[in-house]
Parts: sequence; structure tokens; C-alpha cells
Amino acid sequence: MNSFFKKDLLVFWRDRKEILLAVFLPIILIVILNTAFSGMFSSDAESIHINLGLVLEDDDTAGLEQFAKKVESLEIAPDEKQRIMEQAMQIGVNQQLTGFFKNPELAEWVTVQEVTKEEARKLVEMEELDAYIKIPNGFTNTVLSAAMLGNESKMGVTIHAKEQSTELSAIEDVIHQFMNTINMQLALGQMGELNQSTQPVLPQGGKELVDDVDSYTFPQYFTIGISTLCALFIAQTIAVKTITEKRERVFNRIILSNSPPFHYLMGKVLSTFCLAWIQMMLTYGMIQLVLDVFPDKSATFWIGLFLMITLFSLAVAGLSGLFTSIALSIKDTNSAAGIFTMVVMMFGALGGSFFPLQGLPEVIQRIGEWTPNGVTQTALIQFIQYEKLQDLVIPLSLLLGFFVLCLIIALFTFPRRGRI
Amino acid sequence: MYPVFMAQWMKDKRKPFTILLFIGLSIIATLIFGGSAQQTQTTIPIFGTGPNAEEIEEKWVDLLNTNEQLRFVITEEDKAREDVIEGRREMAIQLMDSDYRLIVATELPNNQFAEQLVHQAYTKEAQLVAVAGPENADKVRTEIENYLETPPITVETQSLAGGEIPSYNMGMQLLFGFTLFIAMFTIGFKVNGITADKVSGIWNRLILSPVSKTQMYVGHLVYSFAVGFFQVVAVLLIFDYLMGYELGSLPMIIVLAAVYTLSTVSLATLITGIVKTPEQFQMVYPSLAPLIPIISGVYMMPGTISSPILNFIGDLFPLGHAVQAMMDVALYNASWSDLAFPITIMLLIGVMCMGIGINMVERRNG
Repeated sequence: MNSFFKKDLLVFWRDRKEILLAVFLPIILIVILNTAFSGMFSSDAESIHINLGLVLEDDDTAGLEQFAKKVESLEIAPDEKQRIMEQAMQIGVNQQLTGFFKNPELAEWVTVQEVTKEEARKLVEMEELDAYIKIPNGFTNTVLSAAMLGNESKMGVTIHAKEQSTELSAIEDVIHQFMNTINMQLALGQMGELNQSTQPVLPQGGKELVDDVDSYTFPQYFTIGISTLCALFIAQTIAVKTITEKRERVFNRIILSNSPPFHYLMGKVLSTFCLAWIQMMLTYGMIQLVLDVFPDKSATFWIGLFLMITLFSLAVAGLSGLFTSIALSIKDTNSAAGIFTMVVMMFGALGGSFFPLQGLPEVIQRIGEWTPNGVTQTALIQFIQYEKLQDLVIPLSLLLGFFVLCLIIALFTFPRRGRI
Repeated sequence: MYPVFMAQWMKDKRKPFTILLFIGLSIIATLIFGGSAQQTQTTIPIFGTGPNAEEIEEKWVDLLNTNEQLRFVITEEDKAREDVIEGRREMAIQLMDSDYRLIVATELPNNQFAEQLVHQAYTKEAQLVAVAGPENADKVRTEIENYLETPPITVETQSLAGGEIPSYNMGMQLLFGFTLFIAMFTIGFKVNGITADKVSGIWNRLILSPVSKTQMYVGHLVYSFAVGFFQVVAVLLIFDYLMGYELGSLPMIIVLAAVYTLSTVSLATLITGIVKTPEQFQMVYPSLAPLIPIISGVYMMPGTISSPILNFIGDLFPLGHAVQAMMDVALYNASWSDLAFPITIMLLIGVMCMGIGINMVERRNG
């Protein structure tokens, strides 16, 4: 059996392209993802900066005068008019708006400059500004009439941009939220007869990290995903070599040499285990060194990770044993290889190695948790948060079970003497 | 060319199982992933605590469910927490009478949006209760809702020309992305027939036959093209007619699909040129393929990847161009002249890969 094991390792070693691919693919993938996502997952204040133009066409004193005239012409009691005007003076729509943009919290990630409409258009066109906001002429009057007198509001604030972008949706969110607040205030102001003295008890909000545990980061998620996926590729790589060996009559010669064919299978399984294990160890080692994906983790964490890697490599080895048996049994070798690709891809997709499964139907999520990489993914994510070794017992035994199951099926489907 | 094409066809016709399985599974996978990407709603479990938990849940579930993108669902506390811990849900929310706590395991961008929404709902309610007092909160709430139906201040987003800016539909991008990405596997699987023919000696016999080299290649590649194109079109038609997604002008999408398939066939040919045996192809191609959508930024909003090096590498593959062009058709009603550029680029990639690929295949042969 030793010689078969050695043979498989040597065959792998001789093909430098494969070595390079196996060693560097997971690392490259993780580094790329990390670079691609780093902008997205650091806090918004650092990653997004918005240049906003403010076009103020409205004159609030003039607006207020207009409104006063309108109120004057109404046929209501003078003291009622008085009250409306007093309220209207307090509202000061434009001040609220401009004040809002000068708010230091917002100023951290939004730079606002006041410009004329023509300038703003030009700057947006040249992409110097992400968007501009226009407060149209007569805005104060319209808003006051709508708020106090119940007229329909015919003009509003407009946000102008060239095309949809992250910046635009961020600024839209902020402005909509602010306007909702003002609208709400105006609405509450109209419920005049009610008692307004009590201060609202504002919600505290706040976040609770589940049970005060370490949270996991997105880079950790895809490091686990990619490394398990690439280990699955190893199972496929070793197994499809069987097809070459079948075609080149290596397998027949092995049978002639009177060594038990099972040894051939065990050689495959063992070498897959070694290669997958080495690959994963290298990946985690390099990624930790370069990107520090798992900062400040205790020794317990690394022991647990080590155990998971080992058992997962074993599961991968079992899978490759099963593949080997199938490759020897199926005549149409091309479709055998195709089927392996499909199985690996399905495991990858269902187990959440390509992307998080949160958006998918629950049934698929459940199925995915039974794939070996899905088991590893879920278990490690949980383990990162809790660092309790006993939590790993079930996933570890599941992986072991998967290995044993695959091996048993492989042994049973392995072609008997004379069937090759 | 015709006999070579027919030979491939007869092979599959005699043993249709694998190719049907391949196409069938690809279509199912595309429908599941692309389809669920379309449905962008995120579910967030909520639960109340304390003696009047149910009352709180009932009250807030209506007040919170105001946004199309987020769906708040009343869940048992234990299940909600477990879902968050095991990564099935991004967050859960613990509701109290006038306060809330987000239960999260990690920082994801979507969380912020949900937090804002919840905070807004609670602030609104707090203000309302402060003004109206807890007894007649319900009455005032209806009044205020009526009032806010025609809010005094309105906000509108416009493009520079004055029209609406179509919002970017990420689900649509994923739908096209998956459709084209998964087709890569079927295409690669078929192009691999060249190496398979080589190792089985059929290639050599063909060389001796009156069939010219060009015809041999064209026969193989046209067949791969036909299979891949069939799959992509089938998926697109299902999306368009059976599932009713608005894909935009279908002829344009199909032309883009054809050009994409063509350049992907070339890409697969290039890989064929690098490897020696069909088995090597089976290992190199599927390991490289998942890289492409990531680098091309198909899974993310456009503009997320800002590194110029990554962008350049991504531009070398047809996938990103095709998805982008299809999005232009679906969202922005692109005209034929708008599509000329991506089509040219994809054809260029196709020609380059095909040229280098065939050259390498031949060199190895000689």
C-alpha cells in the first residue's frame, strides 16, 4: 500500500501546474475577496465619501411674506391667523435643511457646497459632485401652506444625479429619513389640541452581540468557504487521475502485479487526505500571516481549527475514494469526470462555500448543512463565536461518519477481480 | 465540419444521460440561485420578551413591516438566536415596549439599513406617545398616517435630464451572472471533447481523413457553442416567459448570450491548449472558473471593486462585459449601438483566446 501512496503523491508532485494551482488558488482567491470586500465592510464613514451640491433657489423671508399674505386673505378669526403665523415663524424650513447638512456628524462623510444650478449640473456631469439637491423657488411658501393650511404640496426637494450609485442611495437614505422626521414633526404640530409637554422617551436601541461572544467577520466566512471548496477540488483532482490511469492501462498492470486492488484505493484515499490537509494548513497559515484573518485567537481556537481541518480532510479523502470507485466502474470516463465536477460544485454551492446562503430558501439551507463543507462551515462559524471544543464533537463525528460511509460505499462498488 | 459536428451529436445522442444531467442540473441551479436572488427580501426574526411579549410582538410587527426589502417575522426567541449564531439569519430583533435590541453575530452592510428602519419606527412611536399619551395613541396614529399621506415636504430623485433614475437591480445582475457563469461549465465540458478525442486517437485518424484541420476545430467548437447557447437561451426563456422577470429586449439579450457563448468557447479552448489530458482540463477549468465571476465583480454592486489591477484582470474575461451589457439592456433600454462596444470586446477576447488556444493545441500536437 505504501508504494501506491507514494505513487499518487509523486504523480501529483510531478505535475507542477497542479501543485501551483492547488497551493495558490485558495490563497489568491481569499486575498482577492479580501481586497474586493475590504471597502465594503469597514465602517461606512471611511469607505464612502460624498460630494454634494446644494442649490438653494428659495428665499425664506420672501416665502414667509408670501405665506403671510395668503394667511391674511383667509377668512378666519384674527387670533387664529396670529397663531398660524407664530407657528410658521418657528418652522423655518430652510434653516432646518441647511443646518442639517452642516451637522458635524454628517460632515464627516458628506461635503456640502452651495452652488448655482448651472454649476451644479456641470459638476455632476463632470463627476466632481455625486449629486446635487435643489430646493426650488417658493419652497417655504408651499411647505407652510401644506403643513398649516392643508394645501397639497406641489413642489418638493429634488435630488439630481447622473446615474444610480452607492453614494446616491446613501444620500437618498439620509435625506428621506430627515424629511420623514420633519414631516412627522409637522404632523405632530398639527395635532394641536393635544398635550405636548411630555418629552418623548426616545428608544435607546443598541446592539447585542449574541451572548457576548466574539463576532465573526466576513473575511473569516469566506476564508473557511474558499479553503473547504479548494480541498474538495483536490478530491476531484486525485480521482480523475484514476481515469488517466485506467486509459493508460496502469490499473490493469497493477492487477497483473498481483497486489490487492484495494491497496490502490487506499493509496488514493491516503494521498488525498495528505494533500488536502497540507493544502488547508498552508492556506490558513499563509492567510493568517498575510491578512491576520483570525486576530487574537486563543490556543483552544487553533486546536479546534486543527481538528476540523484534519477531519474535513478525511471526509474529502473519503469522497475521493468514492469518486475513484465510480471512475473505475463507469465506462464513459468523460461523463464520470463531469459528474465529479457537478458533485463538487453542488457541494460548494449548497454548503455555502461560494456565497452565504441567507437569501436562499430554508430547505436548501438545511440540505446544505449536511454537505461536508457545509458542516465545516457552520461548525467553524459557531466555533469562532464560542470557542467551545465540545461544540465541535457533533460536526467532527459527522465528518468522520461521512468518511466511513464514503469508504464503505467505495469498497462495495470497487470493481471485483475480472470486472475491469 | 459537418461530419465532425454530427459525430459529436451522435455521441451525445447515443448516451444522452450525462449531457442531459449536466444541462438539467445547470438549469435547475440557475433557476434556484438566480431566482432567489431576484427575491431580494431579507427576513428578520423578531421576538418580544417579558410577560406581555405577545402583545408587543403583535403591535410592532405591523409597525415595522413598512419596507419592501425587509420582512419582520415573529419567531421564538431561542430559534431566532440560534439562527443568528449559526449564520442562517443576519440579525434578530428583541422587542420591548418602547425600546429594542438588535441581536447580531457580525457586521454586515444590510444590518445598518435594518437598524435605521427599526430606529425610525420606534422614534416615531415614541414621539407619538409623548404627544398623544398612551391611551389615545391609536387614534392619533391613524390621524397622523392620514396627514402624512400627503406630506408637506416631498423628495424626489431625478436624472440630470429630468427623468427618473432607474434603481439598480442587484437581483437581476445575479440572475444574468448565474445564468452565464453556470453555462461556462457545460461549455467547458463539451470543448474538452477535443482533448478526449486526442487521447483516444480519434484526432489522429481525423487528421488522416480528408477533413481539414479547420473543419475539425470548427465542428467541435460549433457543437460546444450550440450546446452552451441552447442552455443559456433555455434558462433565459424560462426566466422571461415562465417566471415573468423583465429581461428587456429579448433579441438583444439573446444576441449578447450568443456572443458570450462564443467567447467562452474560445476561453475553454485556451485552457485546452494549456493542459495535456482531458482529466487535467477537468481539474484546471472548474477550479479557475469560480474565480471569474468574483474578479469580474458579478456578485457585487458595480464599482465595489476599486483596485485597478483586479478590474483589469476582470476585464480580460467575457463574463463581466456580458453581464454589464445585459444589465444595460434590462434596466436602461440600451440601443444596438450601445451594445456595439461590449460585443466588440467580447469578440476580441474570443478571437485572442481562440488564436492562442488553437496555436498551443497544435504546438503540443506537433
